Amino acid sequence: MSQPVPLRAGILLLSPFIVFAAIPSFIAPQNPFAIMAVPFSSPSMKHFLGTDEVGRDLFSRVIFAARADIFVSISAAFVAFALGVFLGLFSGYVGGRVDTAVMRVVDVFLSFPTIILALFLVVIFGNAKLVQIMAIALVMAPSMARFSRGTGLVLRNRGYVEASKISGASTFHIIRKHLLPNAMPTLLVAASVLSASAILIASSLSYLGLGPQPPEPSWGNMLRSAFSYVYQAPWYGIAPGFCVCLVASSYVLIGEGLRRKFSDQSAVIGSTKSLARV
Amino acid sequence: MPGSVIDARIGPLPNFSPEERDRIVASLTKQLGLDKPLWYQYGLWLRQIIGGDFGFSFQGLKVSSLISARFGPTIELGILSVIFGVLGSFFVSLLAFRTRFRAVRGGIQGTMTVLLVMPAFWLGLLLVIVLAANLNVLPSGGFVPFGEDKVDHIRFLVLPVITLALPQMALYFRYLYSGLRDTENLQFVTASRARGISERAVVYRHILPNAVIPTITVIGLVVGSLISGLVIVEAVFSWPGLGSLLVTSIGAQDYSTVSAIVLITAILYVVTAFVVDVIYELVDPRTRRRL
Repeated sequence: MSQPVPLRAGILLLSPFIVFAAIPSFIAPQNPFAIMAVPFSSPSMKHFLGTDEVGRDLFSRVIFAARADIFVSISAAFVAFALGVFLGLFSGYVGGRVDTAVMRVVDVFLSFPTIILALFLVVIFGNAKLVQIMAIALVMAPSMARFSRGTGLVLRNRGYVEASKISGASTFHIIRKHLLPNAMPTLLVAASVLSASAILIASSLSYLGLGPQPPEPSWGNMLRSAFSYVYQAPWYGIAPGFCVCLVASSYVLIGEGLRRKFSDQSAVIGSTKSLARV
Repeated sequence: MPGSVIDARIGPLPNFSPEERDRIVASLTKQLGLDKPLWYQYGLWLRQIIGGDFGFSFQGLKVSSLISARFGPTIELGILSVIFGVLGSFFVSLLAFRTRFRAVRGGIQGTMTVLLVMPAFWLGLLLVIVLAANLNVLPSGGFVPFGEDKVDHIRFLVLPVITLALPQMALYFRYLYSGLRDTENLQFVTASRARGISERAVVYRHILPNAVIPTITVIGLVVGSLISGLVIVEAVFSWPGLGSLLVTSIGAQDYSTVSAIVLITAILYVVTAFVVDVIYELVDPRTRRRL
């Protein structure tokens, strides 16, 4: 069976970046930390994208930056997924006061604009990689929780859930064995949309100087320096920003592809538009 | 980056001996109330906030006056970007909806999708490269008060507003366009067309009012979270608003200013959510029945 076009396109777009993130030293032609040439030399055969403000090879730095950005965004999306899905399915399935309590907490988190909340968390707890991941995850988990709660509400009335309940299965057994597998297609679609926001938030944080610290390259902090030198080297920021765009759109494409793939199998697929909150 | 409030305020103090420094730290701890339990500090903060007192920033300035000075430029930027984003999305959606050419429609949809995933700082950078560095028609960043020079004020305003408005336009387009497409298939539209009403009247009088409703919700959500975009765009274009104040305060570990700004944005979010609910009822009478 052939896969939907957006899914294939998305995977095709994302795969080079995964390779960059996994084995940057095999792909990058130069050492990203070594000073190779005059600062701001224009793109040439030796330096495809030119050099930066101290004369390091920009092409190699762009490739090495994939490591930080992809790692942070995927782990953040993963943590947000785990946390949000568990909370959402649990409160949707149990209902009643538990549901109300969880959803009010979710509302509180949703009332903070995304980047502000992430900034605040990074400022309080420092900008180690782990803190960045947790901050981005905490910002995104509430939308995921709200989304999976809706799915939980739909699924709790299914016959097989009731049958399992009558035969004495525990709440966690039902969530794990019945709700989760059946909700998975829908949730995966939501998760890929979330990953797109994750990379945008991660690069915004590093643009503001709260991501990986120099000399470690990240697309965000490269763009930050590109801005200061826009008159000397206008080409500086084009590639890093383009990478952020490509990665974000590949997640969006994968989400759209998964939605098309699953939409004939499952009736619970709803609109994931409400998740795009950057 | 973070650290204790006191370290941030007094710095390393190289001219004092460690004992003297410890004494200064102790007296400051007492002065700032940091020796009290957390719940007490929180209660104190809450009481001051209710009285409109946000405390003092690290430069010794009143946070409330610091913030009120930055409020105007932020509100100006935010409101203008929403207005242009909405106008633009109406124009683009109707163009894509009414055009006879598939290429135009596809082109618009493609552009909007790209704009949606474009990070604001990159969009800003591209605009600066083209309009400021190459063509040299607009300044790459800065601010001139309206009272000083009206033309310059607007020249500095153009790029930040465009950078904020374009992604919003793309987001509204998604909802407005799919609203238009969905409404077109409803029976009353077919009925209007069958009655021989002109296509223009069908679109503007029958389809558009019904298609706008979901978009209003989205506009409300965006207005609430606009401050996220403002943080980035103000940092990019050195616009002296709340967003850039937040970024500099974070750098200076100025906690009283940071918490005041975060609080204000959360309040703004809740207020706009409420306003949107009210507008919703005005636009769509069907939502009025239950309260």
